[in-house]
Amino acid sequence: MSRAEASLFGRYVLGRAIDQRSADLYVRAAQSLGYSGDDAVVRFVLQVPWSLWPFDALLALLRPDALLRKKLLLMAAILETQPQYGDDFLPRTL
Amino acid sequence: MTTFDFIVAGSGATGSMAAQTLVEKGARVLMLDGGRHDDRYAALIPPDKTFTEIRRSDLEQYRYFLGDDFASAAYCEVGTGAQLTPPRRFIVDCVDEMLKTRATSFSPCESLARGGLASGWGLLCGVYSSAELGRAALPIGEMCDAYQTVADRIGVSGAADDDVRPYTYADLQGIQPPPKLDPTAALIESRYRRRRLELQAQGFHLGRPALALLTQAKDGRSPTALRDMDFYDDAGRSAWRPTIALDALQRSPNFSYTGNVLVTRFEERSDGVDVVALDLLDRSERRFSCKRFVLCCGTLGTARIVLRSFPGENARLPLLCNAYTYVPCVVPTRIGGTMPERSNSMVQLVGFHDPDSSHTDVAVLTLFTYRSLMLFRLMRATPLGVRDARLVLRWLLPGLLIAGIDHPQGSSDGKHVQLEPDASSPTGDRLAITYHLTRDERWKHDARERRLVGILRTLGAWAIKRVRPPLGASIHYAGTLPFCDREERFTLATGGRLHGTRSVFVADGSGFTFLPAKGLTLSLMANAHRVARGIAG
Repeated sequence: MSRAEASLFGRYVLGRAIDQRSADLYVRAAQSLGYSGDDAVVRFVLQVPWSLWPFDALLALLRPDALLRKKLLLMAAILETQPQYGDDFLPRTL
Repeated sequence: MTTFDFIVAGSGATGSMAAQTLVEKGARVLMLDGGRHDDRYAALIPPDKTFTEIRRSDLEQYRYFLGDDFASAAYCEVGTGAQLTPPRRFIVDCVDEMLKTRATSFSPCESLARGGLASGWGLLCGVYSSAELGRAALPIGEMCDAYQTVADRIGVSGAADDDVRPYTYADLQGIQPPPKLDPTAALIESRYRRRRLELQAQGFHLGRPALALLTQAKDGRSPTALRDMDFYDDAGRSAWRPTIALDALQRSPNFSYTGNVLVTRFEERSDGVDVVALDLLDRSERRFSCKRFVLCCGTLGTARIVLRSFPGENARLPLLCNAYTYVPCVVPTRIGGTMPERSNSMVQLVGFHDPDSSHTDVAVLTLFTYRSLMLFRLMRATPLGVRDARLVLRWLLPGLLIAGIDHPQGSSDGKHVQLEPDASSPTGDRLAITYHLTRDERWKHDARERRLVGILRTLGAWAIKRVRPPLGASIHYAGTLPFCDREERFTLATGGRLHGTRSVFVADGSGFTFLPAKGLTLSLMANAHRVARGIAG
């Protein structure tokens, strides 16, 4: 697993590039949870980045526990707990 | 070896309450406890910032929101203890290793923590009605007095003038005003008021919950600051936790506390009781001596100890547990709205379904707004791609309500526990739990949930789906050693004495012969106080 994967997944979840600290944290978390390997789907989306959205949408319906989904959900959790991205996840407050 | 007047096993809601009563009566008490506690996360959380302030400012927040091992970010199905955040994980620390269980259809939650399971209690209080107390074989007069004592000790807030007071705190005095209501819950409450008579005719009543959460200062504790961090910390001690009672007890010369031990069994002597425990650090056997022994280890923990103490009988004990279903709902008019900066994460509104108004067969509907458990947990359960889920859920969040439905449970077939050998267990055994709902129970629960989902729709909250976590997920257990008038093995006298013994008492929920759906903890504490008061003299 590489920082390139973190950058791609971070950009996908957030819609813009993520910072290095978040990417590093993702790499560390993936190693800690045993998500650092890959499978055919992960390898494919890393080669063909535009396929990430259709694969993610399809797996959400058919195989929500697929490795790609686990990695993307982990990235979402990492980004949600970074103060610079807080407002990308919080609703408006009074 | 010092002989104490009493040994209390367990430091949770019942253990702390029983010990407090005994110490107040002048007894010398030793508490034996697993003693697990959080020494990692509590100090990281800024005590003066709200959830949204923390989210926008704290670089270290990922540690207490996800855990240093990122375990909260791991993909998983919704199960028992899903609401245990990293700062609350100590509650179940060591449990898989030390309290072995075999259960195929039941997912239990036990604790070896200082403060027990009540360290993560949802704070919902409910006084059992006379009819419920009667079905649970609890003495009505004693329990009414005990409820008041416990409410005075812990501090309870609730509304004085709404429809649910007979179901929440009834006639208790000294109740503080309720905390401020979230806008979505306020909208549901206003709709209920408009259709109140129609809904009451269906046996449904809605109002503010009674919570063990201070809204006014009490005994050195602060009123809730509405930081919306209730799932993570206990800043200001506005929420009652057993550690509040334990900290006060540890200042008393009559009270001693020994942590890092797991009580395994007892041996009754002519002049008292020997209590045998396993040291959690070096796995050695330790023995303690007392005149009277009080078990407060929770229904499952107490069952293990009692079964071990009467080996060879191979007894099978009954078990009660509230079946629980949760229903995520959307309030369309609130979608895309704003959420208040200051809020609390606990139950906003509580409904009671009492079809024949008899107070005997009451299902409980709890309504929560959702924010502080964060979007990533919702994304897992959303059939959308992660990017789309983030955008949709963020927009949906102000209109999201999580409804929980608890069902009452009486004794019936197919629900029991039994101790069986297990060489891999430090205690040499494990608890085999069999728990199946009967066809009638499943049908009744389903019919009731449909009715409640219909009522929610009437109130403008549209159910997305019904989710049934594994049985046991309510973490409401009781009934393994039922109260019984006859001197029968594995039953309790009304005063809590374990039949077949002279000096062993049970002060947790093991004796209840019926488990109402109302929040269990207040009644557990009232019973513990009642039992302790009875034996203190």
